[in-house]
Amino acid sequence: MPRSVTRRQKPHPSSDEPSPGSDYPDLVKAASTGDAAALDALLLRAQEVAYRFSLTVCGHAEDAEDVMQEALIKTYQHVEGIREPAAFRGWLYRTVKNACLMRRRLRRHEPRHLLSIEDDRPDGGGAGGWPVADAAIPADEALSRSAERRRLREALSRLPGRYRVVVFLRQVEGLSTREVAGVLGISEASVKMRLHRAHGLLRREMSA
Amino acid sequence: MSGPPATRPCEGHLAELVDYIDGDLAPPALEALEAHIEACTCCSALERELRERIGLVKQAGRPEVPGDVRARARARVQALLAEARRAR
Ligand SMILES: [Zn+2]
Repeated sequence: MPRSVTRRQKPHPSSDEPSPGSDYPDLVKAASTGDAAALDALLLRAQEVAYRFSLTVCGHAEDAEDVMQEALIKTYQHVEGIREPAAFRGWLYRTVKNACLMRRRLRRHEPRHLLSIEDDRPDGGGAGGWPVADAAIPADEALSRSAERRRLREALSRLPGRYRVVVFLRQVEGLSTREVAGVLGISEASVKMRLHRAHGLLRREMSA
Repeated sequence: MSGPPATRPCEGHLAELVDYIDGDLAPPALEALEAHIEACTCCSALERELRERIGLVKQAGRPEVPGDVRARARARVQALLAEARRAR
């Protein structure tokens, strides 16, 4: 493949884990034909996706367990008769996104703009998550480094929701541009545009 | 971030650089951008900056699932599968 030859560096040289979720089709195929361990792994993973999405994109930790429950049941029902294992990952994120939005709509007193991961107004969103505990940061890490991380998390949580969801799906979870477009029901060009704007904003905030 | 902040003229390459780092840039734009990065110190600084930031974003967005949450998730799976077996 010419692309991998010409590329000088891997995208995330600091990370040694494989692209998260690259093994979904195999897991789904195995689970759909009665492999109990594969089904078990898939159901756990569906809940983990729901947890990360709830915290990072939806920004409501207290909804996470409900969204996880929903992801568990829906995944279990979906996997049995599945025809296209390759489409599973997109289906899972769409399902989790919808469960998240549903939980929010149940919060009657919540301002409308919090539904902003679907909102294309320029000022939509901003009330989001990325609430990562500092416990994850090794104690011996340089102070400036951890301050940098904190500033980045703050900048991420201030991003408009429609940008934050794209950064999360594409760059954190590793979905392809096409998969992200499918999950959000927007064009691939819009996915890229949101990603570019997000990085323009992050850059401005981080160099301020 | 490592390196000096990229200056104004390179901002125009930000979108392409993000696509490049994500592996979304195809030839011939790919080769053209790589040739440009080789020759332009400001764009190569911006590429490093973006690459590092995207790496940090990736770590920040994947919080460990806390032990108690994970235990409840596992218990829910077991309860669901036990119920399904009984129903058969
Ligand atoms: Zn340049």
